[in-house]
Amino acid sequence: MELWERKLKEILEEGKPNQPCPDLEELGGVIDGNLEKEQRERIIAHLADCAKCRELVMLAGEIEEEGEPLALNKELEWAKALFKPSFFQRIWALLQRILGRGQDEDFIPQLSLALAVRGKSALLSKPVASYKKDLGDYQAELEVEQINQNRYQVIVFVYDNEDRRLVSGIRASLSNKRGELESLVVEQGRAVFESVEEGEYLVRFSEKGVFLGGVLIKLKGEGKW
Amino acid sequence: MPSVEQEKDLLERIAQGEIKAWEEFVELYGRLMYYAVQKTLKLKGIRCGKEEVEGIFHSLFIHLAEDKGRRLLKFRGKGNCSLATWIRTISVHYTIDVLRVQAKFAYQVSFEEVNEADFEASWQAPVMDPEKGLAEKEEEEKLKKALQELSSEERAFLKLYLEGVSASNLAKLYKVPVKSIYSRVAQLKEKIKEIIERG
Repeated sequence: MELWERKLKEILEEGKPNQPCPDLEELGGVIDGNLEKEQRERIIAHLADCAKCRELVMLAGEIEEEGEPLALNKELEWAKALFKPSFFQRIWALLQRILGRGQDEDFIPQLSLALAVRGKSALLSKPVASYKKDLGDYQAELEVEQINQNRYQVIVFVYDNEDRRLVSGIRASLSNKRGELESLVVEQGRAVFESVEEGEYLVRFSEKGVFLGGVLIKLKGEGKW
Repeated sequence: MPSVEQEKDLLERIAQGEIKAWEEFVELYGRLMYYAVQKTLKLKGIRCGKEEVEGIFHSLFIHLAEDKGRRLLKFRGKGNCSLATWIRTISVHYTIDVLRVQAKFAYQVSFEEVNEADFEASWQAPVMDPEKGLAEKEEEEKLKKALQELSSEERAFLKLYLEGVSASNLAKLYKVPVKSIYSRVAQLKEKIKEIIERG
């Protein structure tokens, strides 16, 4: 993004949506490009002010209906069986036995919650994000790991682009808008910024005072996204 | 392409407990749902394996199958939204929700390329040089004034573009070819420049 664009983005702050969020069908209609002019303009104005709906449209709009062909036969069979009463009843009975519960009408939503949590907790086991940055002769890889609720560890790896050898001597510094916070020398291809709070940072690479490249990292913690 | 009536009929039959209709639904939209979950995770920068994608896919299917597919009956074909797009939007929405609930422990990390010129201009000691700081402030004021001269529609367009809605996505939203999105950006850029120069 060019500098003027970044400035503009800063100035064009998030407005307060003056209308309630459109429902998913209306958002789907705008993605399909099928809405009447008036309706479309109303929704576009809403999208400019509502980050939540904008994100949904951005993501759903990027997903083509014809994705890669997926070999999902097992999954689809599973999903088909889901509707047979016996499927729920079997799991239901099993869970009731395990949990020692009686008949409970609210149990199916809870079952869904339990499975949803399963999906979520599986995701939690790999809290690592990484990014590759080309530095000319070198290749840097940044890995961010979460240590606790609002602290992160930023690990920097630097390889030689040609022979993938680990590199030493490159300087990696971490700064925020107020200035440089920490400067490390990469040893054996690795340097670690041990404890970084959430916020916006620039990781800057240099060799003998010559700037090689920089990556902007945004770390956002709990409840802010 | 099935008509909206055919699509609604399929959902009605599911609500009546017709197993064949559900199987047809799974066959028609299951892959799309899986793909939407997978792609949303990818676009959100979440690195995860097949097992995690399946976890969300399973719970999404349970979410839709619950209570004889009562949620599916909400589909009205409003705004000419096809069932496929609606399912795709629900899948993305559901996946975002799963991620949001997870936010108690989760984090989001984003990376952005910075070129040297931008880096120098926007990061290097911006407050150490008071004159430069002042010039930047003035520039910002000018930009703010220029933006006020744009119509709300133009500001909305710029906002969406700058927030990262892709040109192809914008083209669909505005029902125009992709290249006119680029020329519109260039025009608006030019217009802002003119307003600033005019003072």
